[in-house]
Amino acid sequence: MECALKRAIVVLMVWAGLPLAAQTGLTFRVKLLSPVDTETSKQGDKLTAQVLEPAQYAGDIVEGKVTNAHGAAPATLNIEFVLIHHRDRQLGMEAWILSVVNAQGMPGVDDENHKVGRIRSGFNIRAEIARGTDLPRGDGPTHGIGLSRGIGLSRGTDLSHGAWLQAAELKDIPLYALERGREASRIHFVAGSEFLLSVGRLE
Amino acid sequence: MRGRAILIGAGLLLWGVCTGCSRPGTTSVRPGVMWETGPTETTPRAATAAATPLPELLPATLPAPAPAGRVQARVPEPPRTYYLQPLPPAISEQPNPVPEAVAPARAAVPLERTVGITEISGGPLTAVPLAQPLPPTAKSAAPARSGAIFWNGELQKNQLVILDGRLPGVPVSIAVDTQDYAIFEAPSPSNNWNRIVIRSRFKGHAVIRIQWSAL
Repeated sequence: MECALKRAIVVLMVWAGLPLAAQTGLTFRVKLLSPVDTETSKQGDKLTAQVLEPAQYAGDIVEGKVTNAHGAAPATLNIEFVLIHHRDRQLGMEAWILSVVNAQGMPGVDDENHKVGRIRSGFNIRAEIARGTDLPRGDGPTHGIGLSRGIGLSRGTDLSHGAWLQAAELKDIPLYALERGREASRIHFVAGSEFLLSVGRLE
Repeated sequence: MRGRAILIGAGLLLWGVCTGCSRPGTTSVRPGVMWETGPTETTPRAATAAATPLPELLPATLPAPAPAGRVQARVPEPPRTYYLQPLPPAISEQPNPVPEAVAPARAAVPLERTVGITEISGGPLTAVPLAQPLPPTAKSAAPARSGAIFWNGELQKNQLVILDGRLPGVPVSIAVDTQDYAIFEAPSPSNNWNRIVIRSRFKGHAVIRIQWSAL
């Protein structure tokens, strides 16, 4: 009964065009409007993106900031989107990148054609790849990475495979890149690249 | 008998009076002269002429001017329509008030505005307020959808270059050579899409090229 009431409230808010406050599990697909590059970007740099989905927010502009950028191998990048301009209003948000599509439309890679995914800091990706654990699934041992929606992974994942992490977990897990099976020294996205965001807070 | 004589006499008198009245009109009716003599001879008729519709050209086959003298009396009278034609000099003396009211309004409007108003209304000029903003012309209606900003100069490592007011002020996407420069602050609604801040990666002479394209 309570669940049905919550669902009805959400439907009413969507119908009325009101933002869903503190909603988790919401995902945005956004298009980057300015480039970001681990070779030059630094923590605190501001960038913008345009919302493509969901339709309720399509066309809105989100503003983000670089929270992690490391230019040498292993290159890491993390971006937090903190603000959305929705119908002449500014709404605070907390959203992190779930998966990427480069400007040429290739999923899971950046504009240097480096394979990009999430990895726990300090994780030896080369060793895991050599052992065939590109995308661990099931109920294997976990090492601190929270999971949701039933997709399991033990120590790391490649988001091009559609793994799903909650926003709060993405906060401390930067993007990681591979270049021919080795840790890449650069992650580069030009304007037009698309990110799938996990929205942890929107109010 | 006496009464008949009186009636005939009265009839003759009436005929004589009538024919006597029509004669002066025949002289002024001569078409070839009408345009030249109008101002002096037709001034009393100018008031009625001004109230009539605007002048029309006389028929191309006007009767030849009648020679003066006795022969004129034998020539049949021209149709009355010639009398009804207003004389141009009379009209110029008493101009139609409608065009006079429009003409100053046209003169007060700059040429560019006049053209714009004409395009808007398609009707009377006076129906469109002059203060109304003009529609963009064909050239200004299509603002640039993309462009580039260049900056060059000496920079220190990590020095910022702030470019204010160089962008069109509409949502844009940006491309910069990120090998040498980073975008410290991208155009966004927070800065009215009119500001971009670039950070240099190296020290030395910098040539920054920022390409933008409107969304």
